Amino acid sequence: MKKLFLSMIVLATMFACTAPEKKAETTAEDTEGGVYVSLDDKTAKVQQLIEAYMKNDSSAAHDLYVDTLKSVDGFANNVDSLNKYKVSPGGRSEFINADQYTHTLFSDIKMTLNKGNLKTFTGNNGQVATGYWGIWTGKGKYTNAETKVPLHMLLWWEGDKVVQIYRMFDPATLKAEVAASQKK
Amino acid sequence: MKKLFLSMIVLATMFACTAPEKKAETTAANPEDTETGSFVSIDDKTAKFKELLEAAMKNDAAGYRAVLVDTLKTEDALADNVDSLNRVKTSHDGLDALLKSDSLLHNLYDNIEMTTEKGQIKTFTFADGRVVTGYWGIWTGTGKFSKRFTRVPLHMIAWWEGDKIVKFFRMFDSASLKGEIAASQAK
Repeated sequence: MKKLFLSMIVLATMFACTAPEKKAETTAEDTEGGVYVSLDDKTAKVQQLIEAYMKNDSSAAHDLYVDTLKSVDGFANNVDSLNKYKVSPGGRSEFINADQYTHTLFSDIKMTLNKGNLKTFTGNNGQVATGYWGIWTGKGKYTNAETKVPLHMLLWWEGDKVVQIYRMFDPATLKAEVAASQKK
Repeated sequence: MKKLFLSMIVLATMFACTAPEKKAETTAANPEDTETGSFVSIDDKTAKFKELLEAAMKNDAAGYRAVLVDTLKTEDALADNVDSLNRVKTSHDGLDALLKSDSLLHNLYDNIEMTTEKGQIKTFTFADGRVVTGYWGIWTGTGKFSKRFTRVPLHMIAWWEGDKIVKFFRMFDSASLKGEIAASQAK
């Protein structure tokens, strides 16, 4: 009777410990799966980066981006024959110059930082990326037109530094402002 | 001795079963964080979303109706399509409006395709129950009027209620589309 009881405990143990492991294995098979949060250190750092950008302060960008930063803009036809995004040249310095250029074209630049606009994703494959979905607003210094542009960004991390950034937006009003600036 | 052995087995069982749970707790988000959850790329909703993209490529209205509710709201996140409260405006109110708009694309372009490579479609489940599928890919087509082949990065998010999509968000650079519309009107 004692032997039967012992065998039942061992069997129950095996069953109890096998079920959750099987679930974990299913998740691990999905190398494109993972988890995400919005209240963590990396999300907070990207929020600080955006707040600094609004003030045309590039110090946070210098701190956060590696100097070999790969930046990709998801514009029409900025894609090669293999459907891979083209990387903008110049690394961190050119990326920061381009951000500063927007302040020469627009005043009162703001980006929404509402609940849920920023999240940090950790993949089962070890990749960590912070995503932004929000609205960029500014008033054209040449057209005097206020513009509101939906903006999506993904920033990929290695350790505590951002090594790659992807931006997606409709650049119609940016192009219009550049054109207006060149006429004057 | 037997009692000691039995106790050790029970203790070992408790430890063995507790360890992975503790790991999960460590991974879990701050309980104050309502914008947290998990994502996958191999699931039923991701597969249905892929079928929807295939229907869009074939201009197949039945494929749309299989996944989208009739009252679908589509938001096109184009420059200045944003209201005073910084919300993207509804561009197509209802499934029929989206079908009409997407069908017009096939009047403008031949060989419309969207990439569906590994990792380009993922489904996100929030801790509060919201479920969304996200797409990051490339839309391609050849303009029927300009004769130009165009590649447009496309980002979409679809909100699910049960097994149907109730809201769509689409983001892309409108330059090529505007160029093709202009070319169609010039002829």
